Amino acid sequence: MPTDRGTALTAYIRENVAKDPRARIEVETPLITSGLVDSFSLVSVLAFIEDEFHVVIPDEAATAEAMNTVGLMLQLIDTYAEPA
Amino acid sequence: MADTLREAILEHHARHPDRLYVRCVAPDGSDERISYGTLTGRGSQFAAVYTSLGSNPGAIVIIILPHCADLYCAFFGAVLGGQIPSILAVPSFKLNAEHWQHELEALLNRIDARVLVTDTATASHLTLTDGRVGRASVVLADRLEHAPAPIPHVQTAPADIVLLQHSSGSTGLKKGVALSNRSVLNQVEDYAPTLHLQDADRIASWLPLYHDMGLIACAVLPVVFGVPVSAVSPFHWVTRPASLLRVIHDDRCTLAWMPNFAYEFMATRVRDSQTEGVRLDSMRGWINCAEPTLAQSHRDFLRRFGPLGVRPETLWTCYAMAETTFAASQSSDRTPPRIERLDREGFLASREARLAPSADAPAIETMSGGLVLPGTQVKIVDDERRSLPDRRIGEIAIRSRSLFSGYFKDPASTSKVLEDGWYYSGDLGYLAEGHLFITGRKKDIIIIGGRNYYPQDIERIVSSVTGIYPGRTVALGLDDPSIGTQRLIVLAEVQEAGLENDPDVAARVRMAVSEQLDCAIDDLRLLPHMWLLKTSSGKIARAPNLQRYLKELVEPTRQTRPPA
Repeated sequence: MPTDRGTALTAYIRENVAKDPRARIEVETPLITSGLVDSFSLVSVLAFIEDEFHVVIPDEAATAEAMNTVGLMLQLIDTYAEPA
Repeated sequence: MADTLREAILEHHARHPDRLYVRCVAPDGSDERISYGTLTGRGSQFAAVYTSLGSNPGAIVIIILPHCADLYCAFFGAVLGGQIPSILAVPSFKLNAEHWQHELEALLNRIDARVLVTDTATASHLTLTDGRVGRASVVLADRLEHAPAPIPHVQTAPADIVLLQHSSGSTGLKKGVALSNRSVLNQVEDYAPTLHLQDADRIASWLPLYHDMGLIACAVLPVVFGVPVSAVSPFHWVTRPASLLRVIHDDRCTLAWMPNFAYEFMATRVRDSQTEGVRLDSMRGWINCAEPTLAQSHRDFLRRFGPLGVRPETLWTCYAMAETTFAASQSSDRTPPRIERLDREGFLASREARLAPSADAPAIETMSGGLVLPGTQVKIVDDERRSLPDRRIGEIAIRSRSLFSGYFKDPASTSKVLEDGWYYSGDLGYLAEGHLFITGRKKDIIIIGGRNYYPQDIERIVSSVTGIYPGRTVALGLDDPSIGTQRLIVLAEVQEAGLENDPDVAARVRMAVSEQLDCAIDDLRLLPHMWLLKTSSGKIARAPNLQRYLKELVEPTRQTRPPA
């Protein structure tokens, strides 16, 4: 089940960075390896995560490999979110 | 000045072994520092390993390492041992391992490389047979315990090939640009004065070393002149472009080379929160190079980073290519890049670079790559290779004392571009009052973010995808000033009616290009059979299909300047 964060993140990616606006993006859909998102766009995704979820992913964790799916991004967000 | 690159390194080693050569900054802020002593000691250790594996002076050593101290040591170790190093890109995690192995093996065998230096992580994607890939023995740098070795005794001569720079493209199209000691040293000797290079300089870089801009400007030039470098890895920079600015601030860097897209990328993507406390006043030259340079990108960069200390006179340009070792022209604060507004009609229709008659006349803006380097001559020629006068647009031909020796083991490709000592670049441009302007390309090459792609590579990959009509595909580069580089357009005919709208076919095409070339298609159009235009000789040509794409498939508001 996509979470609220997952829904928001997916919508952002589909509308702003995906090369094919019609492509289906599920939690496990590969984004970088599929050529749907290029690595230059990850900066924008990181900025979205900071603004929307107030989570800053440290440089060493913000690799293209660790951001290849919405699911992986959600894991990163969980890892680096401030405890409530 | 030394006669060989090996001697140049050894001179620094003798004079100041503790002087810093490179500081590699990791994403977590930790660093590795290489002094000339380390470079020589660790480098000699690499050289001894190469020799023990049967790689003699003059043999090719291929290096595939992430950006770390050992990348420099393995490379210059080969130089110290008289071997010929060449750096290839570390495969991105998206590359298909089987395909990569196949391509790599073919390349290693073609150039008869006996040693492949890599690391455990990269090697895990390879299937080794008796510790080899093809005939090349694999050396794992991260398994080689540090044990500095004595400097190897070898004789090297100025005319010897000292390194190979591999061009972009797939194995079939990749060419090894062979450079002699003499050419490399001539280049840095001619280039340094145009930069007013001095001991107090410090270079900042995020560039990969498999590309001439990273290798020559940010590794070889500094090693010859003893200028320190502060480097972040390209993988780090791409997700965190502010990392370069932080390094410039921390190390008071003065010079940096970047492709044009990086100016737009940094101007739009670096956030205020990432540059808190960062000052860029120390920089005296930001050198725009490796893809067409746009004055607008400089203006955007200046608007964004002026408040942090970037000054207009520090925005320089350069025209460079591996075949001339690196730079053929350069601008600086003393000879700033010239910006011109050209009459649009003259530019497009009669290939003339006439200045626009008035400020509101339709115009095309160009920015020069500066003055031609000393030791280099440039002429502009027509299609029959006859010289053209100033302000006429034609192919740029270059003669210089830093010209390459040829494409390695590829005399046929060499003779196509070298004639009577002139290198025919395939780039289009014009000369005006000594300034060289680059306006486009004669050869079909797509440059995205400073990386070159051959359209025929992309077309071959797309053609092999199930659902695509074989041989009926074109790959096009479309200039997009808003991102400061080209966008990749692919037009592909489908095998059966109805497949045009099949998301699976589109996904397979994107995946294939991503896996094999590590690049993403910006706009993919699946089209009915017979949509693509053919020339009278029956060939699918790119230019007319680009025009049809712009006319029929792109909304007018999204159109950008057609390439000249």
